[in-house]
Amino acid sequence: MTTYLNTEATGCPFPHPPVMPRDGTPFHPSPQFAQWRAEAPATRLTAEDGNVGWFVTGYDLARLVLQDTRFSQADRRTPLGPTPVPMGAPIDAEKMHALMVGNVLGLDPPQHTKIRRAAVGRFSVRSVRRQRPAIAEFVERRLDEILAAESTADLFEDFAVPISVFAHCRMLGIPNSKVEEFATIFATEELKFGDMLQFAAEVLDFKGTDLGEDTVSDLLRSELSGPEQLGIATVLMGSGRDAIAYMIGTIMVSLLSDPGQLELLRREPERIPASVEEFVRFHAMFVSTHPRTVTEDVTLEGIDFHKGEPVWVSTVAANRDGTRFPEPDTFDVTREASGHLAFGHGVHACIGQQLARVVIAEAITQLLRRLPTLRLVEATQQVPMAFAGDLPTYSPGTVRVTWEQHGGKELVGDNENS
Amino acid sequence: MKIEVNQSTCVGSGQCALTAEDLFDQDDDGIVILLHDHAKPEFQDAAQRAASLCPARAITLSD
Repeated sequence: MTTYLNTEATGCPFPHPPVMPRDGTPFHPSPQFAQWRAEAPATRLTAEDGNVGWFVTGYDLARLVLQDTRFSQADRRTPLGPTPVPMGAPIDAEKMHALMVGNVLGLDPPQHTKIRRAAVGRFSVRSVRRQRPAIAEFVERRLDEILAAESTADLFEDFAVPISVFAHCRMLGIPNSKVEEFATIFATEELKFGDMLQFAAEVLDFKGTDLGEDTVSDLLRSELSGPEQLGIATVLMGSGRDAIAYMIGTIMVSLLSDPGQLELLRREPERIPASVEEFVRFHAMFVSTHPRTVTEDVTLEGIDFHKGEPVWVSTVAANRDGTRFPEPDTFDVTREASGHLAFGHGVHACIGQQLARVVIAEAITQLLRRLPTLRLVEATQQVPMAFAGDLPTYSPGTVRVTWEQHGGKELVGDNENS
Repeated sequence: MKIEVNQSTCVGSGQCALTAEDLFDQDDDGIVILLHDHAKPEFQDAAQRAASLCPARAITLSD
């Protein structure tokens, strides 16, 4: 087995490990990732706070790290990033405690297992498929409104965001009267933890007297403590919706820029649910997952991880590993792409991934069916942008599109026979 | 091919029910249910795919 030298320990040739590259786009990630992967499956990296750790670019190693609980999410050595997190409403000790005990993203098993299990029931394949008709109906209505208004739209703000908000609120059980407020707090570039916590607390109070068939009600029925319920409810409200919206917009940029792939899916729309795997492999949003911290010395794939080091697993880089996905930089909707790490892996794997699959497939399917002349005007994510949020993730951007008005009639309204 | 699942390590991601619905389902709590503890030859590929995709390594296969 090869052992890769720790370059700053040997003093040469790179005394200061590099920082995370910020060039690249969701379509063409930084070329640095492929160069690093060609040398070793993990590379020494300096965090924004000066902490030095490992950046994992190789697919096999990425999987190994993500499924190995010696890489802890609870014992976090390095802050998430340089951005000071705006708080909004003040966070008192009680709410801070709720985040400590209920935030699955900062917990290891067995506490993590307890919290996740209380939340996961409605995210099963079967349960999510029951939501499909309601999601389909919402997508259809949104398209009716877009088509009735004008012959141009921003597929991100006008289409992807409202759909992701609807699906998220429905799954979690956000009362209709609070959906607009949910969007203001959660469907925004600048998440404020104080406002998020306060909103989640209000929803828990509201639902406490009116339990329904939704995830927040399940949390209230569970054996979790009040602070645990508040912590996990807040995290569920703040996670995943943004990624679904990003995906719908960004996938459409790729499809509209690639006539061959677009034509194939228009001709054979029944392929779309399976193509979602390639959609999310190719456009993975997380340049790095939440950093793990090594809890004991461990050697994997020739990399010596030392206790206390932060480890960033790059799902973007792993998904472009040619040893796992041949011609990895080719977007091919016919590819068998399952096994990608776009939804993570290990005990922290995305809880809403089955919902994401259904929402993305429904949105893209209807969009292609209803708008046969859809054309991309411009998209902001075609040039490198600042990473979004407190983790290095690609940002969504404006996806300006237009289409031909065919007198409206054949395109407006249900188009089942087309 | 024999299939075993570990319900206590399952994290309810649904990967098995998505890739091999003839072999796996999920209960109301999202946790794996094994529908057949032996995979017939025509389901062995699916069983292997499900075991490989399981994020919690909760599926074990043996001959």
